[in-house]
Amino acid sequence: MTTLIIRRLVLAIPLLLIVSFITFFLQSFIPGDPALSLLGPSATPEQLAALRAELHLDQPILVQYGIYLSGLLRGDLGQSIFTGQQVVVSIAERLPVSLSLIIATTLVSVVVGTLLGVISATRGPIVARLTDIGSLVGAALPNFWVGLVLVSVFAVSLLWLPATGYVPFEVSPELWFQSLILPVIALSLAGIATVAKVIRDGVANALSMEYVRTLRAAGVARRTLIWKHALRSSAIALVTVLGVIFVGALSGTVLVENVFVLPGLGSLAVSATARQDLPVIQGVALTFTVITIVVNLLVDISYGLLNPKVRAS
Amino acid sequence: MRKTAFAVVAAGIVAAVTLAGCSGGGGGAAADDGVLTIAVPTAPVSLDTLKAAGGAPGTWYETPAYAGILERDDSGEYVAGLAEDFGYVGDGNTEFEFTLRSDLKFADGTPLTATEAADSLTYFAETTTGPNRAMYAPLSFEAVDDLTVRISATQPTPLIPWLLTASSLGGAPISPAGIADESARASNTYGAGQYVLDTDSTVNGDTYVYTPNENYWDKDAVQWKKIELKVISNTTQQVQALKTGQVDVIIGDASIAGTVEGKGITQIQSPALVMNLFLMDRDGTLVPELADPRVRQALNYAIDREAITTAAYGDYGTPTVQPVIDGGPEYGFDPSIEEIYPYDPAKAKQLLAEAGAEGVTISATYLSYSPADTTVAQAMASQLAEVGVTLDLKPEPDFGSWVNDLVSGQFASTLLTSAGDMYTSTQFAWTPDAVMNTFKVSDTAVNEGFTALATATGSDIESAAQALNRTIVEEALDVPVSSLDAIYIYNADVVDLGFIGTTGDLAPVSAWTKP
Repeated sequence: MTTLIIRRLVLAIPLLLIVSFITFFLQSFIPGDPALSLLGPSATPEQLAALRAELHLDQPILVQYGIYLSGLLRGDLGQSIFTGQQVVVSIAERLPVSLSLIIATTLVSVVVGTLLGVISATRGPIVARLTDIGSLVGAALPNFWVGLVLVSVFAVSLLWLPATGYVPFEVSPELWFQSLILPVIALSLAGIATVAKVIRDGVANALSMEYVRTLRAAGVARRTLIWKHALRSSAIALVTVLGVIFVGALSGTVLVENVFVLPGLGSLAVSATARQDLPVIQGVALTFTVITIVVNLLVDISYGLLNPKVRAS
Repeated sequence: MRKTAFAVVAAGIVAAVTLAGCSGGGGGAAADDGVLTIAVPTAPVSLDTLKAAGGAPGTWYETPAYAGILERDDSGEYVAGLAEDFGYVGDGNTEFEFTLRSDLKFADGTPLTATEAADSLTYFAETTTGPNRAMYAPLSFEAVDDLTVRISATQPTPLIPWLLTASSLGGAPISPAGIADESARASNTYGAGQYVLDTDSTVNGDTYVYTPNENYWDKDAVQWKKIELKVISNTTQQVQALKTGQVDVIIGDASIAGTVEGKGITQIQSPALVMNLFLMDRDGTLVPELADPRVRQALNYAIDREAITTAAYGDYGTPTVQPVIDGGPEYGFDPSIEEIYPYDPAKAKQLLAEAGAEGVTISATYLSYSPADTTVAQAMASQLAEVGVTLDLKPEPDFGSWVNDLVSGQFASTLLTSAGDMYTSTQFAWTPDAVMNTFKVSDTAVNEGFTALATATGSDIESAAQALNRTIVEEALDVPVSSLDAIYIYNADVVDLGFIGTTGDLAPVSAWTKP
């Protein structure tokens, strides 16, 4: 297990370098001049030249990347061209918002998806088919569209929940919870559908196994058979799906945070890209990559914990 | 049985928390909690007043924390601000003096005397890259005693009082600590206004929070315990936030005006802007035909302003051939000028034929995030095509890209809404160093009319402004289309808003009062 973890961490380093390289060069193709965007058309040529020199925009692209990389290796992600704020600080203040959203989405997907999966596996073909249809619809609906509908109904028409904004947990746990309900619902539909399908298949398969019939004949309660024995066999598949759901929710934050005006990493990515705030774009891309690497590592560790054969190998 | 009971209890707790979290009003601020929440469609380019965008909502980020040397009252008259006495010295609009109140302090506690005020004005005039740079360029500032500053202009400048207001950005002094640290000004405030930026509560790009300044000279004037500016880019989201009480003020437009309803929701509007096709390439660098006034006049005859205005702005626009609104004597609006360019495609074709400009192509860049602006651009292109002119449109979805287009020298024209009186509009668009004069064209008649207006005083101002207006229209330096309303929608149970006279300018945020 330790070897696995070390190997994954070592492989993460070139992955991060590749991501930073690709992101840096891709954004260099975005048309426009950040210095001009910041100073406006009234700036003199001398003022523009001074700012470009300060931001190293007058250097060849490889030199600019080298300067960025040297800062990165010292843990310095640079600062926003427009606000002057350290990128690390910008990310740190927005990361809790996105993590709240993503973790809550993942939990809801697992809990609700598992319930639906078990129900569809144990209640007969009609319920199974309805679950399939519901899963398909849930996976097909765009999360931002679902968000807009939820806002229209539950916020604007019924006035039950806020339409926009985020309240930190430390300010008010109640308002924090309120502010996440609709975004989490919008983001978790696809995850619920995926989990339900995986659990349904796993439980149904397990219930048809010889050992389960044997346990049933021995007098083990049906509820125990389902929740303790049949569900356990779906664990590994569920762990795999969890990783996918988490990373999917991470990318989903880009749209959902903009629909609900949540100050997370997704909305930061959008605003930084629109402004060509290059250091912030780079910082968010690297943060997303690190989160993805960590999630995949945790999935692999979970495999090992759940499956002795994986541990042994 | 135990597990079942546990599951039921757990589900019950979750349901209770959820239901407790759901409340009528959607979690919005109460009307009397002393918090003013404003939705703004864009984050600031910078909190640094030297780089900030002018007008609304750019100045909304500045005026709570940066107080002006002068202010304007409800009728538009200039009144005391940080300065208690002010005025031009002698004739000619070239010398001006103001006297500060005694014992003023910046938010950080440092004194604000004539020295600091003069230093700040000088620093701004020499360093700003904002839209008003050209207006401050002819001015120099000198502290003549502890509280008095004299302003000297190298040319007649009737606009000095406005340049000393917070809305102009330069008229709001920056503290010595702010002047010394340029990078810090991008995300912090260093003014002497009613409020200061609460950096701990502020999330750059999302929410900007202002709390009362303990060192403000008139604490009775401070209305709010807190002002929050929330960046909500989408109009639909802004309306939803207003309806649910999460914000108290939004900027409206023709697409939503008259449709937003709810408890306390009120709408105000006033003519404020003019939508123009600015003809930057008037000396024919890119499009030689544009140097001929007949071609530019033909463009004006070819546009059906009535139809475009109705389609784009409905009840919130008025067709016009003039580059200014009817905002007062300084604007120079003249109803008789409206008759110069009736909609006459035949006349347009005739003028184009006389000038040998049939089939001319004119490049035009414009900001496309406003649906109304896109409607105007496409309608103009269609109508010009009917007289044989191709308007080659390039939409730009963001301000930065549009600015890049402007200064690239690759576009002969741009679609833009403009504001201000005749002097301001001319200095913005048509003087040789105007920010919109990207090809640095010098129009002799315009320069002469501008000088006459700059030196006019009293009752001569209106006639000078009208004369310059007529010159600009007859020379067809641009193609005005519609005068449009500035629209603001707000919760009247929380805040009271008002325009400054007939200028179309909304009072600064620091002047918004409780009802």
